[in-house]
Amino acid sequence: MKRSRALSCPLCGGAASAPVDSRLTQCEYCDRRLFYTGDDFIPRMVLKPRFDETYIQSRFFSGLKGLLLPRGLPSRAFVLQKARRYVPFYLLTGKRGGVLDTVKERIVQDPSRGSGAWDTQGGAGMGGYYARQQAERVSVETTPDSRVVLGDFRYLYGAAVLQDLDIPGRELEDILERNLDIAEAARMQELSSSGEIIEATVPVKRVVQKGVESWQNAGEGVSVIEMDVRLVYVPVIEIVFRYGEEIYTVHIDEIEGALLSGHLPFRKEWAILAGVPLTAGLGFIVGKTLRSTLAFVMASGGRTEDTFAGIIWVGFFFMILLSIGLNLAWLLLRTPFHIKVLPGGQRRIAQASPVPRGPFTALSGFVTRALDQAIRGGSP
Amino acid sequence: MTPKKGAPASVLVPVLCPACGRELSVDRGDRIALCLTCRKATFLSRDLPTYDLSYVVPPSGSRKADRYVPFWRVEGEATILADEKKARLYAGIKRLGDLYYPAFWLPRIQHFQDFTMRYALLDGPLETEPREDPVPGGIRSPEMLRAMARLTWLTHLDRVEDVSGVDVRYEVKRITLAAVPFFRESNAWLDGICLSKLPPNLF
Amino acid sequence: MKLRCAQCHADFVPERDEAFLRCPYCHSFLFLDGSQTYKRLALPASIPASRAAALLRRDARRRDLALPGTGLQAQGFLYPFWGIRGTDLQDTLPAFSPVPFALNAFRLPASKVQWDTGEDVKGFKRVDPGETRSLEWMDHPSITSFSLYAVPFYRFRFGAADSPCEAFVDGVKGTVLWGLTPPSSTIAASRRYWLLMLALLAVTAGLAGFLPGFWVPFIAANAAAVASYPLFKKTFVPAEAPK
Repeated sequence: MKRSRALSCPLCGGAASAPVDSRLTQCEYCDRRLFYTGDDFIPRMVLKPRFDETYIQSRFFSGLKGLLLPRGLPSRAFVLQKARRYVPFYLLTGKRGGVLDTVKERIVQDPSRGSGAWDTQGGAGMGGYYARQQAERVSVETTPDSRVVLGDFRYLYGAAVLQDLDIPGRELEDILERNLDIAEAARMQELSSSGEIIEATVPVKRVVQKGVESWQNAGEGVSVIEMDVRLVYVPVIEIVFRYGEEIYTVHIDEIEGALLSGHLPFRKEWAILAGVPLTAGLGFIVGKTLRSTLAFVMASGGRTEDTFAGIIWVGFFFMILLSIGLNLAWLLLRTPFHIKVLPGGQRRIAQASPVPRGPFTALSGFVTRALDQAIRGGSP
Repeated sequence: MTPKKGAPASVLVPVLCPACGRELSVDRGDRIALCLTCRKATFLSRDLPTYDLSYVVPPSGSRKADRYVPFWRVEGEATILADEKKARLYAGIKRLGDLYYPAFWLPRIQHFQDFTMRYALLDGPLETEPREDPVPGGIRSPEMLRAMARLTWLTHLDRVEDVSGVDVRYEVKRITLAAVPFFRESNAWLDGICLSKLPPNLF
Repeated sequence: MKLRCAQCHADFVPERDEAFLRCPYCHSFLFLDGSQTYKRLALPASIPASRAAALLRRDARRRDLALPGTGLQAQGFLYPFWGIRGTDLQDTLPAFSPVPFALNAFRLPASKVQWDTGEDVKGFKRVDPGETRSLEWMDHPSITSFSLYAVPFYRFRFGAADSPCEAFVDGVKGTVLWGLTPPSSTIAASRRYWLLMLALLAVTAGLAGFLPGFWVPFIAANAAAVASYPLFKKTFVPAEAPK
C-alpha cells in the first residue's frame, strides 16, 4: 500500500495518515487541521449514479428479452449478485502554450507570363490551352510565419486494466467525456460504502508521459505550462445471474443507462431448427444417391468394373457427406454458444468455449486436409 | 504549539495564517486559503506564499454578487523585443492592463478562454473594495502566471503582426487574489465585469 | 512520532522509522499503514497446484460442467483479506480490487497462521492491498481490531478469449469457488443426440431410397424432421430453470 509510512504532525508530533480524498486532514492527537502538500496526492471526483435501483432493474430485465434469448429468461434468471463498481479514469487538464513556427502560403499571379500558343499537353482542344495559360501565370509563394498557442487541453486515460472485468474502457471513456460537467468531488468513504472502488493500477507517471508526448508531437515550441491530474470514477452496475446451472454477467452504466457488456444464454432452439433439417436433408440425399447408384449398377448388367466403380463412388460420397455434413449438424448443436452483449446493447452470437470433439472430427480433419492438398496440387 | 524552527519542512502544514496565526478559511478540495482578518490569500504548499486579497467592484452598479470567484491578478510591465519595422506596428496597439487568470478549476474551462483578454483591454484598472465574503474554489497555483502573461502578450501582438523574431519580456510587479463578483440569472451565470453569459451549471 | 498499538492500544514512539514494528508493551508484531497499526498474517498453502487442478475437475464432474481435456493451468496468487473484529461482529473483507465474483463470499478458514514478513512465496504472486479497500470500515466505532491476511489461491482460466471462464481453488482447504462457469458438458445428451441424428438420417435415407419420384420422398423426409424436432429439443435444450 502506498501509505506505508506515517506522517508526523508538525505541531505535536503525533501520527497522521496521508489523506485519500482531500488534502485537508486532522491530527488524531491534537485535532488541529493540517494540509497535505505532497506531490503524490491526486484529487478524486465521481460521476454520481443517475438512476435508481428500479430503473436499473427494469433495464436489466428488458435486456433479457430477444429472439436469440431463451423464452421466459426474465422470469427464470436468478440474480446472484448486483454490485456497483467505480471505474477510475485519469483526467489530465491544464494549459499548453508557446510559439509555433509555421509557413504562410500566398498564391501569386504573374500577368507577364503565358505564350498564348496552342498546346496539347494540358489536354485536347481549348481546355488544354486555357489550363496551360493558368499554370504559367500562377505560383505559390511561402514565407515564414508563426502562431502563438495558448490554450487548454483535456485528456482522459483509463487508470485500471479492465479486460479481466469485461468492462469496455473506450465506451466508458466516451460516457465520461460527454458527462464531465456533472463530475463532483468524491468522498471516498461514501463511495466505498456504496460500491467497490477499483484501484487505479496504471502509474500516473506513464499517463502524464503519454499525454505530454502527444502534445509535443503537435509541434516544437509548444510546451505544457500547467497540468492538473485527477481521478474520476464512473459507476457501473455488475449483475451476476444464474440460468439453469450456468452463470452469466451483465454490466450497465449508471450515467446513461446503457448495457455495456456481458454474456447471456443462447436460445438452443435455433441451432436445433438449423441442425435437424440439415440432417434430414443429408438423409434424403443419401437415399436418393443410393437408389441412383443401385439403378446404375443393375443397368450395367453386373459388370465387375462398373460395380466396383459404383462402390468407390458411393464410399467416397459417404465420407464427404459424413465428415462435412454431419459434422456441421454436430457443430450446430454441440457448440456452446452464448450471446455476447456489445456496447450500445447490440448482441452477437459467440462461442463460449471450444467444441467437444465428435466422432467425425478426425475424419473431417482428414478429408479437409486431403481436399486442401488436392486444390493446391500437392504443394505444401 | 508551532513547528520547531530549523526543522525540515514537513509535507503536512498547519492551516494557520502565517501572519496572525488564526485558522485559515479553506474548503475541501481548495488550495487557496483565506485569512479574512488580514485580507490575505495563502497558497497551501510547503512555502505558504501569501498574497493580498481584494474584492472587485462591479462597474455596473450596486447589485449584490451571488458569488465571488477567485482570479489571480497579475500586474506587471511588458517589454517588446522586436525589429524596428515591427516595433513601429506594435507601438500603435492598445497596451494590456492587469491580467486576470482563473484561480479555480473546471473540467471544461474553455468558457473562460477569452476572459483574460477582455479584462485586460478594459479602460483602466478595476476598482476594488474591502469585504469579507467567502471566495471558494481557489485551486490553481500562481507558479505559471509569469509564463502565461508572456504568452498572453504575444497573442495580443500576433493579432496585429506575425511574431516571428519577436519576444516579450514580462516583469511581474505584483500578484494578488482578486475576488470577481458573479451574478445568477434564471438560466445563466453573469460575470460582474463584462456581464458575459455563462452556463447555469458552471459552479 | 507517536503511534497506537492495534493489540493493546498503548501509545508508543517507534525506535526507528520502519513499516514493520513491535509494540514495547504487549510485544505484538505490527505493521504500519498511515497512522494505524495492525497485524499482518499469512495462511500457509497446504495444497499443491496439481492437487488443486484435480479438485477442480472433480467438482466440475459433479456439476456436469465442461472442462478442457488438457491445458488447465493453475496460477498461484496471494490475495489479501481483512479479518475484522468488533464489539458484536466478525467479518472477512477483500483488501484488493477488483474482486472476482467467486471470491466475494470467501470467509477466512480456521487454520494455522504465521507472521507475513512480506517476502515472496514460491509459486504465488502477491497481490497488493488496495488503498481504498479499508475506507468503508476503518473508522467505524464498533471495530476493535483488524488484521491483514495473505491467503493463497489457485486461479484457473479457460474458455473463449473474449469470455473466459474462471474458477478459484483455495490453497488452504481446497474449496472450489466458481466465477463464470463453462457450459454444461451434456455428455449423456451427446450420446442421445447421436442416436437421434443417426436414426433420423437412416429414416430419411430409407424414405428417399424406397419411395419413387422426388416430391413424395421429399415431403416424407420433411415430415420425419418435423416429427423428430420435439425429441431433439428435449435432448438438448436445458431443463428450464425453476422460477
